[in-house]
Amino acid sequence: MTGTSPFLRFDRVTKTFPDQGGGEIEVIRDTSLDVGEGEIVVFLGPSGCGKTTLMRMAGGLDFPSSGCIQLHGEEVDGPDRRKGMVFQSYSSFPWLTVHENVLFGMRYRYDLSVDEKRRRAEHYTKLVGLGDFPNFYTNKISGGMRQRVAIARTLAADPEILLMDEPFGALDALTREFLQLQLLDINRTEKKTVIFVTHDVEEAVLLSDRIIVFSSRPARIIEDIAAAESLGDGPRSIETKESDSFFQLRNRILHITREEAGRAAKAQQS
Amino acid sequence: MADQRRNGSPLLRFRGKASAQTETTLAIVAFAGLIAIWQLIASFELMPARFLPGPLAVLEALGCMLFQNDFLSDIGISIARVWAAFLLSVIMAVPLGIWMSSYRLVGALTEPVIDFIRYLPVPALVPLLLIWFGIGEESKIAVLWMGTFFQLVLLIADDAKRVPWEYVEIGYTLGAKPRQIIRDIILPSMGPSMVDNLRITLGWCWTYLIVAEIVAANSGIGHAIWSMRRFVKTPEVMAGILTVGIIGLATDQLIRYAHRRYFRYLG
Repeated sequence: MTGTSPFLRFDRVTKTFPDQGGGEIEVIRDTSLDVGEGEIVVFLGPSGCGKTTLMRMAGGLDFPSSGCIQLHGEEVDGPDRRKGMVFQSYSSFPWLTVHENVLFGMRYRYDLSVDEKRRRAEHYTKLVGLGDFPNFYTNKISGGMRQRVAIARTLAADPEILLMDEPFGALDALTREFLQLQLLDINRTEKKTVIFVTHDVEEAVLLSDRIIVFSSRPARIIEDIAAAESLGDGPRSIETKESDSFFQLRNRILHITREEAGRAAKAQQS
Repeated sequence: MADQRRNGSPLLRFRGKASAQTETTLAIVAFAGLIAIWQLIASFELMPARFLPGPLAVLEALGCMLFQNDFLSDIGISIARVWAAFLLSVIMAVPLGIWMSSYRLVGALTEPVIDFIRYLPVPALVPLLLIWFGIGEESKIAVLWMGTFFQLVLLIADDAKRVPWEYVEIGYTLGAKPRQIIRDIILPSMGPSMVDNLRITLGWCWTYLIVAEIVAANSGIGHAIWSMRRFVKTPEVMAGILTVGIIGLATDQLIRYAHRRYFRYLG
């Protein structure tokens, strides 16, 4: 099914949830989007706008009320190992050590031998910089390390697409920046397709090949920005964050999001 | 009470911590205090010895019972009854509780019924259970099972429900099926709180056991206590009660120890 159909396609997706009053609340309206293989796409939008729901639907953890989502031209009809998730919290299992957590990523891969699994677990544990801590329980390590465990576990499962729901949202600024750069580093060798949800503009600019800016609820795409073109194709680093093109892109997006916030506030008043 | 200053004793600090050794020492102090008060009341005959014999008299009665009467076999029978009924409850409550929390069809069908039965006072059911099961072992097991199963199943369902939804979703996105999620994620995640609930439930088993053995039995600790009462052998009655307390305390400590060993990541 390659060639003709895009890697991941959102086709006129609308999502409504029942609200407490017995009515319905629309969180995503008529959204279409194609994600190419190997692309890092950031979903950027205000908190609670529905961007997470859209990403979850790509993972098969939620379903559109109308429209459809296709991976390789095949409708997404539930979660499986091809669509890996990294959550903001509760991301690793506290009853398992770092090594066991990463191993757990391959628990349902019957194609790998025990030896291969161990070797891969060691590889990914090292890749995320936790090579010195394989036997630590994950409730005894810092939040940043826990997120790295989650990333290693998801990578070990070898998904086709990596869905990340504000994975660094609960971390302090320094740890956050460190992990952002590490994620860029990791993806240079892993070359996964990534959907990364955040409301942090700088994070979006630093990580993305492409930024999708969403409106307030119900989420619609208000801008589709090719960040890779603005920032150049070279490897990103801490210097990227200090370059003029980074600032320009950041300011441009901040401008868009401010305008949208103003519009949303006005719409709420009337 | 002391405030949060550096020099204050951690024992008096609001939500302060103490070492395991200090905890043990304080426990011993509490028991010693209790026994001392008991001894004082007995020595000064604040209550007649017929009603409240001193600790030594009770200890002596316990020794006599253990070595002369059939009390050791009574203890064995009671422990066997408690564990048989407890294990029966656990074997039924754990799968059903997890099932109730996993599928609304099961939960919605069973929760109201279980809630209703849970509020029936077990002692009131004893006559009915005797009619149904006679005075053999079945009726004792039935009383204990009635008293624990319906409570336990709801506690287990709650434990399972408290497993963060994210864990379940992680399982799904790693390719697990519901059955595997229950085995590999839900059970280990709810393990510590489940074992705590089992421990508490085992305590209730002893309460209902004594009720059952007093009403209809010719063996067991409850029966021994009840027959001593007929001859107003207060030291023996108290020795019987004490035995239940000691067995309970020992079992409780054993399970706590296993809990610490098995769930080491919590330490």
